[in-house]
Amino acid sequence: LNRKLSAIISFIAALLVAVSLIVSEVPAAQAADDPCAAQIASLGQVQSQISAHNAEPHTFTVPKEQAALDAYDAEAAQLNAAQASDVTALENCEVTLGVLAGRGPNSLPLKRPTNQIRNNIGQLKAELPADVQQYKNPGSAGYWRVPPDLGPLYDALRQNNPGNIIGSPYLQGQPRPSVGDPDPAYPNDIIPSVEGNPNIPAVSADHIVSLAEIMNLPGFTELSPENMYIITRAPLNFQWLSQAANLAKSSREVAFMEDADPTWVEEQQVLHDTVRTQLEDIIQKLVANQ
Amino acid sequence: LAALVLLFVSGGVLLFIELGGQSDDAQIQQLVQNFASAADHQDAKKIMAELCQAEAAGFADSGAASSTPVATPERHFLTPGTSDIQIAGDVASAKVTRSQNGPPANSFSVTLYFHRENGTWKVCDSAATQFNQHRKRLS
Repeated sequence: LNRKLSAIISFIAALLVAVSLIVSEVPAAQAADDPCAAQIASLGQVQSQISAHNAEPHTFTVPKEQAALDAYDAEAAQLNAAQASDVTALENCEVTLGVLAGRGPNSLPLKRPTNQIRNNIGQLKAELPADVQQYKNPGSAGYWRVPPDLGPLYDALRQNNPGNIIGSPYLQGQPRPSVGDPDPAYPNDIIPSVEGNPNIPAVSADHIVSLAEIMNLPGFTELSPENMYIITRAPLNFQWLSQAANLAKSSREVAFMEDADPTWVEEQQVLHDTVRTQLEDIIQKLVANQ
Repeated sequence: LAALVLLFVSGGVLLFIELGGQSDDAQIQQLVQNFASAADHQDAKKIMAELCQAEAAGFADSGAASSTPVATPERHFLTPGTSDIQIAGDVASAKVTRSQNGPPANSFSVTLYFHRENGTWKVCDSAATQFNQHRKRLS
């Protein structure tokens, strides 16, 4: 009976660890350059420990080897708990990236930097002064400015951002407007075509929270180069706007002069505040976990 | 002698206007027309050139700064009417009325504020506070 029992117990002990290994094993190749690299690395480390644990002799005769069995089980429990914790951290990281990716199945894909761009951003980040200055509030006119310390980094992050958007991805759950669609900023107007091509609507993907404002968000300068790039191009922060609407958004005087719809102006403010709060929250999470 | 003095003074005033530029009212009226045209044509560079420094700097850091002008304005506003120009030192306000024949016909009025920078008036909504404080002190 003892031999039979010991065989069963040892099987169960090994199984506890092996099951979780199968559920959440992370391919090593996935870890490279991933925004969730820290979480993947930690999980990989625990999984290596689990492999080592499983490779140890795990047939025990009880009660003679009860202490060894208890130690083996305790280690299995500790490794399982560590693995569960790392899986949760990785899931949280992926949820964060999911929020950044915006809404809807046709949303703009989350863009990652090339090695060259990442290195360039990393170099510019390394050159920032230790006491890098960010603005806490917009300027006297109410518009956010790029702090002088962050000028070169801003220029690098602004380059080709968002660039030529191919196809018609959804932004804020809305498809790219077509020529002739109403312009929400000007209810009496329609979306025109670009000059010289009557089929292409004169619209662009607008940063809801401007790049200048993002540069001033708490924690932004602590982000890794990869995460700086991702945050400044997050689909979450884009909306389709006509050029006329974009100008009205960027200058109160233009909005007054062109009679922009006051309801649209208010909605823009609400959207801005919502997205800003989300970006602030995500930056804090990324800084804590990168 | 009085007629001579009057002639001399009038000539001086005319010479001042000719050499020293337009009166404040005329400058502001011209500024409103230029700004309206720049906004109608979605010409970011011209819009920026007519804004006061603080606002132009913010505009320059926005995505709209790289907008390219349109050949034909989407909107068909007529030349703006400028009235009730009030100047308080280096800040000013004016009532601007715009109307379009349609369709649909539309007309509206807004108050714009201005700031004089290096002797030149600029459109400057953030000058509203300074303007209103100035008026409060005077009243």
